[in-house]
Amino acid sequence: MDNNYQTQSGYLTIPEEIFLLSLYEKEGDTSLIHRKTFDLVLAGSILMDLAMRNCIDTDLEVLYPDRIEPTNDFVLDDVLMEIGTRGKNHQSVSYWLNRISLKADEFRDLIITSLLKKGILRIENKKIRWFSTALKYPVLGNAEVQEIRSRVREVVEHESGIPDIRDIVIISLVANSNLLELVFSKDELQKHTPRISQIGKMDLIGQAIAESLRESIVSNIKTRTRELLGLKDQSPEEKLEPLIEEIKMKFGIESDERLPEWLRKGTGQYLKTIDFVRSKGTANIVYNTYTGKYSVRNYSQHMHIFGSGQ
Amino acid sequence: MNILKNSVDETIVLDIEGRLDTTSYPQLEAYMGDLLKQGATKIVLNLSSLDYISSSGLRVILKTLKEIDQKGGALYLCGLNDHIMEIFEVSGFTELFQIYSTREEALNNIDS
Repeated sequence: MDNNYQTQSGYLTIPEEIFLLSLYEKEGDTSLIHRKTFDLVLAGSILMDLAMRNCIDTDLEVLYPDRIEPTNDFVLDDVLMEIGTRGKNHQSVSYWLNRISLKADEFRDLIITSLLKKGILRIENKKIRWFSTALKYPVLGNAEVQEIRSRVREVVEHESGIPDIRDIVIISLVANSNLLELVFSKDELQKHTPRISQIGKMDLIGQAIAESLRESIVSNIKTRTRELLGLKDQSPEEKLEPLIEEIKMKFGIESDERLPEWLRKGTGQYLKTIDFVRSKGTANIVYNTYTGKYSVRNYSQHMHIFGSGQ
Repeated sequence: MNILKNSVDETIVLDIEGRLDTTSYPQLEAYMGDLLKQGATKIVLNLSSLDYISSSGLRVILKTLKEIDQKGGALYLCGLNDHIMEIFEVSGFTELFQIYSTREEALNNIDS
């Protein structure tokens, strides 16, 4: 199968297409791409690209590796190597979506680097740090973005046709994220909802993304509802649980005994972590093992999980 | 995966046995491509002996539907077991394909 879409500037991977599609038309604003939910969409785009290359396969329940061969794309190869190592355990698509989404920041940078090399993006101000939401990424000529959006529109508006497989993949990703509003007006969205829903279902990975996003939204609604109703807030220990699970997934830690000290229950450092969570009211934190200091996490920070001795 | 071919008048019936996944889909893809090049316009895929289908199998079936549709032909499916049918329902493929319970039902409906 042809796995890359050829634009005037060269071949784009599916993650690159989705990234470009998410850029606002006028200012190259990147605020959309830093929303947490977009991490899942990006993860889905990586899996879909690998599926199109027959590197992985999926069914209703599991994802499994097939051809573990280099793709010559850093993002795809990174994920493929991990699936090749751990995928034999036959985890679900949702599992891999969540796992891959943990590295979304890193993958975004790699995608940006690739697009810069392909001459599709440029940096306006070289003094501005990467990852910053203030950084603008103007699209050279905007041709590539318009090309992708035009293709999406054409497929959706041609209501009776069977789309190409790659178009199904792109539209399935777009349909299960916030990106549709960048392609269609509200009236058009309302008109084309049946067609978009039909195409969005055709890919099983797209369905898994939709399911993962729904779970994420439900979880956020539950948390917000508790706050609004004045229900007893979670304890710091309860708040830390998702972070612990995230670290375990990200680093392949299977036993709690192998967690870093600041997250390992029963240690003095863990108690300090609890105190910090209690003081800040959030477990969205990082711990710098070199300086011994805690801080509230933001997207521009790298997390120091293990000290030099671990 | 095994593919057994039969012809009933102008209709080609393919009995698909085994698994249709990333390993076997190229075989079906090539087979269908050859049939279309030879001018086949009515194809029935009998999936009654198909044990398993993955995303890649779904993609090749959809691709074949698109190609045969562009040539003015038709692709029919029959004999889907409960699990395969579930996958087709979840992915919305039941809205795209004419699906029959048995090979005979498919052939009777094509003739009529």
